[in-house]
Amino acid sequence: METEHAATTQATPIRFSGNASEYFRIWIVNIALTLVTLGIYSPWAKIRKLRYFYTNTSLEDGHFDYHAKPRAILIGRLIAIGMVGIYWASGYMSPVAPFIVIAVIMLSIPWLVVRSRIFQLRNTSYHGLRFNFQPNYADSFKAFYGGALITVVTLGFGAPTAIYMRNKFVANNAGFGQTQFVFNGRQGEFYSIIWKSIGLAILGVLALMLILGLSGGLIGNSTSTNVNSLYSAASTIVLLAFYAAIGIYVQVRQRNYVWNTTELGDSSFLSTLSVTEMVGLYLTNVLAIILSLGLLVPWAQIRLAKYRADHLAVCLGADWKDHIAALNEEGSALGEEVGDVFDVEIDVAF
Amino acid sequence: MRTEAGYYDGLTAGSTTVVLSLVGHSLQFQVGEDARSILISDVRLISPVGRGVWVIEFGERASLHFQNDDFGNHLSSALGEGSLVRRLEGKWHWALIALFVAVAGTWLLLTFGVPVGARYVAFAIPADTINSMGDDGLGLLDDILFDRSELPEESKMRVAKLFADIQDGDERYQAYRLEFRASHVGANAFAIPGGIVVITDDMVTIAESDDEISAVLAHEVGHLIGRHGLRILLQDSASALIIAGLTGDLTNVTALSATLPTVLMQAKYSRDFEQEADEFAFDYLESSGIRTDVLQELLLRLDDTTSGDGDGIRGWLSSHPQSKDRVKRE
Repeated sequence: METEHAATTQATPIRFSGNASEYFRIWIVNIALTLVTLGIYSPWAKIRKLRYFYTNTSLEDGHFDYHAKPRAILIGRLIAIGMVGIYWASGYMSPVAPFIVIAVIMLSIPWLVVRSRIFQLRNTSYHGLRFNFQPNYADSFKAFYGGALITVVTLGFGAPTAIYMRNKFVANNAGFGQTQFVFNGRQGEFYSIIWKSIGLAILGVLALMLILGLSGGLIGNSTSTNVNSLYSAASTIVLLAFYAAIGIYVQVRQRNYVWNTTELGDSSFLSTLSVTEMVGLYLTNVLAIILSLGLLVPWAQIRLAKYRADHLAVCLGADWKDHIAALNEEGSALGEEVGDVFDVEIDVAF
Repeated sequence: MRTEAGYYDGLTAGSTTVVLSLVGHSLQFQVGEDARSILISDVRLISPVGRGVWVIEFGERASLHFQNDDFGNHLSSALGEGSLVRRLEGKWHWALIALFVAVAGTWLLLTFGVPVGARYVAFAIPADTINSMGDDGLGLLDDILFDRSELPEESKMRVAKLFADIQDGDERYQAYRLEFRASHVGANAFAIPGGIVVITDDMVTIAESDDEISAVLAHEVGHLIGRHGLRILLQDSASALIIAGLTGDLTNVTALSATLPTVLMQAKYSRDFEQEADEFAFDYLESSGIRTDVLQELLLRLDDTTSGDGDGIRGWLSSHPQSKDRVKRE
């Protein structure tokens, strides 16, 4: 059902050509320069990183590129740090002040999301042509506040509708040149994904409790407190990994669904990420990073980017080469950077 | 010098393959019938990150893309610009130097920079401002942690006298006050930023002598005079920001691996402050002619009642130094 477009058109794979040893040098130079300049270099570092990943991502004979100006990112970061500072300092004026700061930030999320999308997409190009995002603030407020209202009124049961609304908003306002992306997904699939993930979570926790209960009974008699603390550390890690796996399940299923039901002109997409492969990838990445004391971070990032690219293909329409560039001014970096520091992860698949 | 290049007009997504040549100070290529010549002073050259595509931007949005590194390097020297960063990224020996700088820099920043900065900021705040925060903090803890003390008045009087003895040591201590509370957390004492020391009923009962109580109270006064509460808050926030900044480009789940160094670092900061408060307590005990071993004896007895030992992994994660190590360092 999700692959109906693929059946009729030839899918062209996205290719990723970055390699870990080359990226290691870029990554470590970025870190060293960021430290030496006490963080001032970080926008330049971000641009070099993203340019490496984007320019090594290609489709047919064209590649992607990232065009953000370091100054815009630096200003955005300074504002974001200023906001963290206000949040932090407000706690000393009154115990309720931090909650007011959080409320203000929460209320401005629809605006921040639009600014962040504009900055990100207008600074991304494929084949020399920029992507775009409509500054549709009214719809953003409708999608985010409406979704939040539905979630609250239904006591959380309507949350998948909220996720659907946000995905639809973000997809439908994105464009390549002057062609808009169109999201054809339905709410039902989001309910199915969320309910299945909750079911998996419950089953998993029950299974874990059973295993831990049985093995705990055996170890409980042990007199050594070291065995006990090691055991509790191990069970915490297993539980964390399990939660992470559920998170990956939701992410992967949503990403596949959103890509597979989105069209750009007469082109469509084919995303074939696998949950088990992705969980394996993340687990081995975390292990490799910890065991290498962080030195394998670049390797892990390259692997992930390669896996993602390998599992995304575009079913190109006949007229895709004729997309006309929208001559829009570049967005400011504020939205995106505030999102970075506060980790306002927007759960959309692209 | 010439290379094959892709010409993009920036209006359509299509490209045309052209032969690009550098002749003197101009770039020349031919699109269909149309021969173009552009002065290099009118173009912007964007070098690739790693091996990859060089981009020449010119005019409104037009660009030329090529892969030939020789041509790119030649053009960038003709333009009188060469990227220093690109040179650093290109060679392994620079990468190794960068690795050394990164490791040494992170270590210096986290173990010296952050504590020194936090200390400076914490002591820049006037004492009156700090002391006015105490009641809010105590009010919050009263809600979640504490109940009314059930100690007999005479015990309270006795402990209050011990506290007053410590306060006599310096006029800055006069602003501090002692509070008694019962708590389900058991035998413990707290230094609440803003000049309040809280001692739990269990702590008073478990102590076998007044000297042990004095040691505990002096330890907490050590936290207050050093403004440890504020400093640990500053250090924790700063170190979390720094570690997140260094590893921040990791995706959600992999960010788990950034949590570990943050937790370890924050535990280390906490242990350092405990050590500092211990040293303050030892100095007080010594100057009052009390055996300095009493603090350690009390802590070891507390360890027995809570049956925790902190060897191995738990030692690194621990917010307090190991009780058996808490003796005065000469």
